[in-house]
Amino acid sequence: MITNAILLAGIAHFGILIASATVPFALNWKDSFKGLPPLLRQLFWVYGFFIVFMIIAFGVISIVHAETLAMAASPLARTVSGLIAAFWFARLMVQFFVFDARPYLVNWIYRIGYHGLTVVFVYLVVVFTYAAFRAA
Amino acid sequence: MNLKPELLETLLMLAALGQLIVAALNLRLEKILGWGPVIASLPDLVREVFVVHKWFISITLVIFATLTIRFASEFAGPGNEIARWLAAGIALFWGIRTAIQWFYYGANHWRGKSRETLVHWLLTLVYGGWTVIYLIAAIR
Repeated sequence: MITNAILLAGIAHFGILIASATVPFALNWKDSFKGLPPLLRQLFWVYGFFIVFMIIAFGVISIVHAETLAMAASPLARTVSGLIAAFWFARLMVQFFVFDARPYLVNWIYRIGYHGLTVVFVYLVVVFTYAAFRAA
Repeated sequence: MNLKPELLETLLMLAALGQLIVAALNLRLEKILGWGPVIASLPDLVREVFVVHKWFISITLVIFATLTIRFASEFAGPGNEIARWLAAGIALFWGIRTAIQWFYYGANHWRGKSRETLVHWLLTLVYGGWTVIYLIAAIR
């Protein structure tokens, strides 16, 4: 069962990417970045790219090594699960305590997407925390 | 490349320490480059996204360093499949970052400016070096 939960978590990472892809449009980055120093503008995109890279990497490793992570067979597997859980726990805290997205949730798609993301973050934290601490 | 595991382990540890330094410097980038007032003038949520992305990039580097320091022997030795995947992923991360240094950030940022040129080449060598070290760990 935990193997399937991790597989689903891996797939969920690719769902998060769909939401991530809307951010530059929803926040109107193109206009917001006008007048910024070119290096800072480029850095915004590089940060965004590497966040996407990490989400893909977590998704791939969760899918390819679902069984290894589920079995908690080695300290390395447990640590990987623990660090993925920590990453998403930090992201969940940002969702609750940093972002005030209300002014941008202008239609039902954005509202469902935003609250759906919160549910997915909780799921990822629960699954990977369990995988990190379960008995081998 | 046929590196002794002990040497590769040492190189991995040095790479991990370097990544911790970059993680710390990344959090101070606004101050280092004097971008504070510009970032403060951005719309609230755009500024928050920038700060959150900055923190998550540093968290990512701390994750890389933690895994490398704690499991250097697994990374450097043969037979641990998940360690090879992680090493390949980290190598890809730094390989892309090295390419970005040359092909995305324009040469106008550094060409003709001695300090910026030094930083550009230093970043190329360091990021490129980390790419090679993790790639060796991945393909052993």
